[in-house]
Amino acid sequence: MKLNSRIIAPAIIILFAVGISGSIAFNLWQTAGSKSAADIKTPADIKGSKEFSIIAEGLGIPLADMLAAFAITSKTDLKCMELEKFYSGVEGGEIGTDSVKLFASLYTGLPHNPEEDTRLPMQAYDVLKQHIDPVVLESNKSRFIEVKAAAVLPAEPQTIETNTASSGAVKSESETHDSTATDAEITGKTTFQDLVNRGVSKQEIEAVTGPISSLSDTIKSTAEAKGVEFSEWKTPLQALMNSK
Amino acid sequence: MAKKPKTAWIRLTVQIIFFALVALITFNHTMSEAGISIPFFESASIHAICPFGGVVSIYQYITGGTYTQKIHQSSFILMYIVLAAALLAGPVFCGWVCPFGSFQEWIGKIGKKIFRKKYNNFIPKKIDSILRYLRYGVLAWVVLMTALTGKLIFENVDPYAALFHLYSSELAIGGLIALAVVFVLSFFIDRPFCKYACPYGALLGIFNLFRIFKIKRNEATCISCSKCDKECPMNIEVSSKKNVLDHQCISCLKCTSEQACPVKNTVELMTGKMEAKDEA
Repeated sequence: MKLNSRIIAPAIIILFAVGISGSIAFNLWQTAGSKSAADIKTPADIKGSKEFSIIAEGLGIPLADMLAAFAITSKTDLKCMELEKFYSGVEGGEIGTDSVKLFASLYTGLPHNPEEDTRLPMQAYDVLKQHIDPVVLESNKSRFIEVKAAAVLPAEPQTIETNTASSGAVKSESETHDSTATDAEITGKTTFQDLVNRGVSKQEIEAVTGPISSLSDTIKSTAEAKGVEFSEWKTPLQALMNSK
Repeated sequence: MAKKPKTAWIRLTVQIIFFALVALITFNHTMSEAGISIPFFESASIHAICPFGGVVSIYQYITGGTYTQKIHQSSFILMYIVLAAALLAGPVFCGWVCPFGSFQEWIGKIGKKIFRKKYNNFIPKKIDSILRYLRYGVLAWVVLMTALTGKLIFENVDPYAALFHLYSSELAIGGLIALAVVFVLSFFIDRPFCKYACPYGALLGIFNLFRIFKIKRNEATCISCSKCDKECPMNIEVSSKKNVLDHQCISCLKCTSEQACPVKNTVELMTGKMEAKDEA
């Protein structure tokens, strides 16, 4: 039996098409990590691509505490991997995804073996001392370093009030920058949690969208899943957010 | 001037389709991160749709049940598809599908016009034959280091990823340098990365030893014109072999009677023995 171009060309396309569509049919085709908070059960499940809001929901840590711990005042949410960029100038260790794992471990008591050079900003110390055993905190004190967050974090038009009991370690945006609190715009990446962080209640959101299953879902994807135009929700939700 | 084979457009079409698909999928991925994306079209990172990701992740998957950073189940599925194709007809993925192989080949067309007969013959055969095994060293290094670190270690020097990250913040400097080197070398050598450095090509090349459909040459009808040798992008001397078992063959079919070979039924991708009627 011989093979030539006229056989190989369609055979290759069919092989890929059947293989991929078959795996989609059996729900095996996954090109990205899960966006579900339910998949974050331990600090080891935290990856660089995970958003703070997903981790917070999965591990039961208030998002505001997580943001405050990393001195994030200019964003309502971020991926762990972004920390490395924000803290790239820090000396004496590394603040990145493993730092989030360490913070989550200390906060929840779940086990995690951090890398030797993993560090946390001193703001995390202030957050943790409100929630965990002081002995545990003291035994990890060498992990905390002073960082000038305002100097390393990029200013963005979005703002939030972190509202934590972190004893003023993290300044609110209104203290550090000219306030642009009403300028934040709902985009395809905005989650319901982002709205909650800006003071919109879940009830107010559901009055527009109907019941929502997870605050960490993006507004756009939820609208699409329900067969609703994103713009139909965006306008009233934007108005709600601006009113806060 | 030699007449262009009538079927050369078929492989080129397949290459363009896969190149465009990968480019669009990865572009859509970058756009979706900015909140905009092409509706009803797949969006995935270049790593998620690279079958080699499945290979480097095997150790972690077996020992820990998880995937290496940035690798997902899609990489494993693509790996199975490509391995199945390789078992049948050798590294058809390299010759027909791989967008980076196509990229080098297309740059090489310019080089061929500039250097003519000298193109793809710059490196002395002795040195070349040694360098051809370099990619097995790359394969061993990538698999070992990925297993040890749990990170996609090749990512930082991967010219293939760099090609599709040129507009993205994920572009690694090491990858960009590697891409620039491959780009320049492609003017002189056909598929330089495939020949000397591609770890996935190294793995798929092994399948040439036992694939079901092999490139076979009919010694009885061969007129020893060496046109098959001249056309082979991987510099394999097809005219001196009865069965092409060379680990560098990419199953592009350029050497066959369908394209370069001027004698019917003389060089074929086939299974079984050349029949008596073919020997005539």
